[in-house]
Amino acid sequence: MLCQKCGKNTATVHYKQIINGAVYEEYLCTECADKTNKGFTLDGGFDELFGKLFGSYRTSSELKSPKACPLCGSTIRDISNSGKVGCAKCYEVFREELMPTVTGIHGNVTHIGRTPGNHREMMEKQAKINELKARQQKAVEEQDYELAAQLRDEIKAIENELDNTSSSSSDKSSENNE
Amino acid sequence: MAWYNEKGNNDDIVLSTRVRFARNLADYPFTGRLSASGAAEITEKVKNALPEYGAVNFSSLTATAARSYVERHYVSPLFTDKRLPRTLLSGENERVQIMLCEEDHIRIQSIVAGFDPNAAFNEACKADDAICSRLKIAFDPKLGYLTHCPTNLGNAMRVSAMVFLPALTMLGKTDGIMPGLNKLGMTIRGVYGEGSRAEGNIYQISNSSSLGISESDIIANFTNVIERVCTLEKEARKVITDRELDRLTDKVCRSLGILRSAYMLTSDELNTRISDVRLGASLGLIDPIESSKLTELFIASQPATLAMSGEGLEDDNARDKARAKLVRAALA
Repeated sequence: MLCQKCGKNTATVHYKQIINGAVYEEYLCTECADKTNKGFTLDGGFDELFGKLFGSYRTSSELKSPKACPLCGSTIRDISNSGKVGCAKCYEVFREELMPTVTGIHGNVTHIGRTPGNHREMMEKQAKINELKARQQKAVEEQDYELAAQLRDEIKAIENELDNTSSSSSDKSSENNE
Repeated sequence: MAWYNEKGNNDDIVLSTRVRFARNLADYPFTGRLSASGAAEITEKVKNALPEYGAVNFSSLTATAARSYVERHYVSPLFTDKRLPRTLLSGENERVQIMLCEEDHIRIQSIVAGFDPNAAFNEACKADDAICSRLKIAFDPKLGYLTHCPTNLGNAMRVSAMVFLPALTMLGKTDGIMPGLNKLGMTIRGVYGEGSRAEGNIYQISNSSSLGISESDIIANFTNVIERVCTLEKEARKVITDRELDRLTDKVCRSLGILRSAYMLTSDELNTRISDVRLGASLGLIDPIESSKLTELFIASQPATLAMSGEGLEDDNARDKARAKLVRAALA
């Protein structure tokens, strides 16, 4: 199809914007896409285009944030430049920064559909760890070190179970170690 | 039996259907920041979770052998670069292929002949269940499966079909259906995915949304879209046969003649001629030739797959001769 702006060249760019559910679409040739302030060039392909889309949601002060992901070392600038998220932890660490982009792509929606089989079990264990950690903290504050030590051991046992779930299937048998 | 050797539903228009899930392990960086040793560890973990799957180490393949997997639609072109050690796991009868350390750590895909998204989905789910019950998968209750590229978040499922649209192409209507497909949350691309050409009038249609919509809704929506596209293609076929039956019949017969007797065939010419013959056969303009047979021939005569059969290795001329020989034998 022809570019909706100049009507001369073949449209190679499909620009789609969703704001609060309202969809705006344009089919443009590369030249018109560059000229109109859609904020991207196609020289670097999809990643660069996408990276710039990320950038368009961010202010420069946010991009200067020195925060780095503890698992993969990514900063928000790395994610913004590549258009790709560094690891699963980044979605937690940079959630606030990433959400406008995620909402821009998908709309303000929540996942529906399949979940990993062991996810629920792991979430329950994680919730238990959080609860025990809070109790441990309280015990330390109250100088009940015996209780704190007992809670530490309980936390460690559940953390070991979580580690076993993430390792290969062949060593699942060590789960029941109490 | 591989998908391209089988007969499928509606395969005069829909050549194959594929379902793909993207999954990542929670405790490793995504592939953009993954080390070779991290990739090796992930590979071992997934292999252990699926002991019955065969493994092909792409690091040790020649470029031609790797390319042949692309031509058969088992791996993406990205998978054949050697930036990371990459392994392909392959299930029984080549029904399910799992790319390890492509864009995401794990890409499960099931491809079936003709139009059957549910069959492909069910096969992919079996592998997904085996992996997700044994390994710690990156998942968030709101965002769904966490993926390297945020466009794939949610169920991280892509369902796609390779559709043969010669009549819509002849009438110049394929661009016209693009905006309509986009509105329905679908995209249309060339035969080898993003940025590729529609060789032999074959296009790929797939869903573009994956967050906030269930897999079953995507499949229902996709089924409606593909049925609609099939109807449009059938209408277009009727228009061209009403308008210029003689000219079309002549073109089809000439193409069949060339395939049956040419001494040399380039890949481009083969794609065009097979397209003509496939259309002619489905319209009854020539004696019946099964669409699946033409798909098999189309795949077998692609450059790398042809080279893997040990024929025509010397140079381009030898390859074009080998291709013509293969086609003559198949259509004799």
